[in-house]
Amino acid sequence: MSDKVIRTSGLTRDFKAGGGGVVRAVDDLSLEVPAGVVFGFLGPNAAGKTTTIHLLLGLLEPTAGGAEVLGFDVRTRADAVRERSGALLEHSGLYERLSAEDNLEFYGRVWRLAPGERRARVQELLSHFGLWDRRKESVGTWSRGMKQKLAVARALLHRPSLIFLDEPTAGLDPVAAAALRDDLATLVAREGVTVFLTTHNLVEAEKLCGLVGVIRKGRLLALGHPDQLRAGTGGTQVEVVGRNFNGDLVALLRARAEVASAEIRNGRLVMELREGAGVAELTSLLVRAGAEVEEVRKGKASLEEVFLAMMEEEKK
Amino acid sequence: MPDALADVWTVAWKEFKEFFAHGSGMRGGTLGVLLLMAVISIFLPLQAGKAWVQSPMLLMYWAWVPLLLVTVNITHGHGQLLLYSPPVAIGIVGLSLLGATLAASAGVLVSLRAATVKQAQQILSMAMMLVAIVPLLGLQALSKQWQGRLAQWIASAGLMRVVLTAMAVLAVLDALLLAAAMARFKRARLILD
Repeated sequence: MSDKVIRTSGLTRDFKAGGGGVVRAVDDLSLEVPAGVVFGFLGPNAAGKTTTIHLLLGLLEPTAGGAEVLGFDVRTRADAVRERSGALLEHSGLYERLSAEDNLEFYGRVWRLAPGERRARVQELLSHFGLWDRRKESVGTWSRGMKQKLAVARALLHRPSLIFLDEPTAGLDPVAAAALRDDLATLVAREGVTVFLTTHNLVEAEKLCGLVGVIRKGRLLALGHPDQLRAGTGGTQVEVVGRNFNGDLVALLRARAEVASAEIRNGRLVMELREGAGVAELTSLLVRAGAEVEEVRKGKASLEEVFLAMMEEEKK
Repeated sequence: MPDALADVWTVAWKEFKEFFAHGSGMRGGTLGVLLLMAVISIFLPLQAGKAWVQSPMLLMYWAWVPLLLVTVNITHGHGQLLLYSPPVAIGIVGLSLLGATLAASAGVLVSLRAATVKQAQQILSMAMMLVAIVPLLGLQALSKQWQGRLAQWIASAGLMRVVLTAMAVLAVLDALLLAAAMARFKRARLILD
């Protein structure tokens, strides 16, 4: 197996739509994910993220193109891929009437771990996620955050070299999501597992992922480290603190070639500048137009801003 | 096959744990099972007496057979051990095993095509209802002459032959469904879905 855990080439999947039409859920997707990284697959709803996971696990047949996961062709060796992968898809796979310990014990038996190894691994995972003291409680009585931690533990139980997590923090409150994210980050780093993660949460992707892919309508729009993507926009974000910001001022800025976007956000003027734009010149323009400028902050766009800019660009 | 048996044991372990899960106690399924046991294994044998070890109707209650035997012997034995007649005993063992295999094979096939557990349960329930209703409707659809011939055959053939014929039919169905289920079953898929 090469150092690429996932390799897709022109991966395409169509679904039949009403009226005899066809919907292309994944469109000519080519990407490579190296071993040991957390790969974040970002995209809006119905972008094709979950369909891609199903294709990579061999749960769906590609319409065209192909994929190799852990060195196995997903068309012919899907069982081998699934044996070596963990997955947390739409459903947690947990039995609500069973205790946390019994849930993991059950999956340990399903994965045919030896009894001693099974016990040690269950204790290791429950301890890592802070659930050991509550291992005897029925899962049905737990909070969503705790259940989700247990579901991730279930996916990691048999020490897979690759895990697929489909929106693992969806529906969790910020505190629970952060706790799960932290536990996950330390565990995958310690065990060297490659993670294929889909998420809507761009802050999460920025914190967790070493490699990010952005998908929309089945097409891969960008692929790279979050820093690369931010740099790739070539622009600079400027935030101006002050007074007298209004619609006329925003219109004035938007009319200038070096300004990619401008808006008033929480009483502050936020601009995206194109490569080579002069901040001093724009600040002077603002003052001449009647704005009172107290502070000008310059920085690179966040991943969220890059993502939103890509979505806007794609719509045009 | 040993792997399949290990899986059967694992699922049985899980079902047992779920049934007697924390907190459900007597409030949940356990109380219901105890009530059912009381009705079928005590009340019905008391009502029927010795007929319960001789009647083919006993085949309908195969799961409760050991308890029925205890109750009938206590209440109607009078110092003599009451046992099942050979056709009934063979039917209890054979038909229950073949019937369970049929239900399990059908369950696997249905589960593979169903999107959710609930959908699988609904389809299987419908199939079970059809299995119970279709033969009855079929019998009613027969002309009086054919119904008479069938009744005559059952009476002349004897219970043993009827039981063996039913077992043969079930065995053929089992073989077909089991082969189809084993051909389509993908173990690795179970873990992820």
